[in-house]
Amino acid sequence: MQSYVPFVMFTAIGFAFIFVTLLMARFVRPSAPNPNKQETYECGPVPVGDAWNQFNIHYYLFALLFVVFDVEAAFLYPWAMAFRMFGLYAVVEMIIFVALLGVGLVYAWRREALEWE
Amino acid sequence: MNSIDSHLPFLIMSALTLGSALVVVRVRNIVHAGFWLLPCFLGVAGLYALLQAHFFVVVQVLIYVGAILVLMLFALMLTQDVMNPNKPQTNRMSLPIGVFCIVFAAGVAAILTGHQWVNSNAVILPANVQTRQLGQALIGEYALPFEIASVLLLAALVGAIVLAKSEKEPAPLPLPTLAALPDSKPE
Repeated sequence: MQSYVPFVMFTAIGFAFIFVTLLMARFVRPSAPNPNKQETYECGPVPVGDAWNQFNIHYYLFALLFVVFDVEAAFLYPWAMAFRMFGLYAVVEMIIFVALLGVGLVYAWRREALEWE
Repeated sequence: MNSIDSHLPFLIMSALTLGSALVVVRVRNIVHAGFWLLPCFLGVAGLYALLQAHFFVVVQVLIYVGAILVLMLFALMLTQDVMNPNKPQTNRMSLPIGVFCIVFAAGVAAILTGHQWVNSNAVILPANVQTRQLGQALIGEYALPFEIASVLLLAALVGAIVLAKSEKEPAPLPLPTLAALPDSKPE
């Protein structure tokens, strides 16, 4: 439990920093709203349509690729802590693991799933 | 050790997990429900921390908060009519599912209350030793499940690509060289 005390303190101070800063700004800044200021900021141009529209399924593919390789990275970590005890066997095992996912990546590449249309 | 004081972190984390899980199923806007999973997953990470399972804290934050939540939100953004608050939250299966949930919860409660809980006096190992032992188990005893996890991930990957790209023909077979790739496809 002791090891999480600095982490909790860091989190608490981080959150406090945001709220204190915003609160201080609230007291200091002048308040002069007008319709143009309160419009959604869209890099200059007037925003068009609703932000809640249906997104391209392509985003999902990238997110899923990310999840798959994120999980792979999570498996790599305990493996890296222990592979010295097993030598070549552990290396071959991880190569099989990564190669299987590599097949998926090659498939995604071949199907042009990584290209943006 | 049974004072409310020593249980306070556990109570906070449980309340965070269960409370936000309740909001997830109660809130009308499904995208907001997705965002409410964030404190829920963080609460689970906190419970892992209380159990001294340091590696799982990191994995929980990295995988669930960092990746799976993003995936879920992307999936919701693909959904049609996602923001309509007048959509019914139930369908014709809600009654059988409700009965099933009650029976399931009663069964779990019966098992948990009937179980003889013992206090473990095992020594809590430092984080690096824990992770090393996990790695040893993955390489040694659980080598096959470890490799099958890779196959499972591959299946998920291929399945998503098939679903997302089903309307298009696969590229012609001769493998394009790296240099030829960017302009090999007509726009």
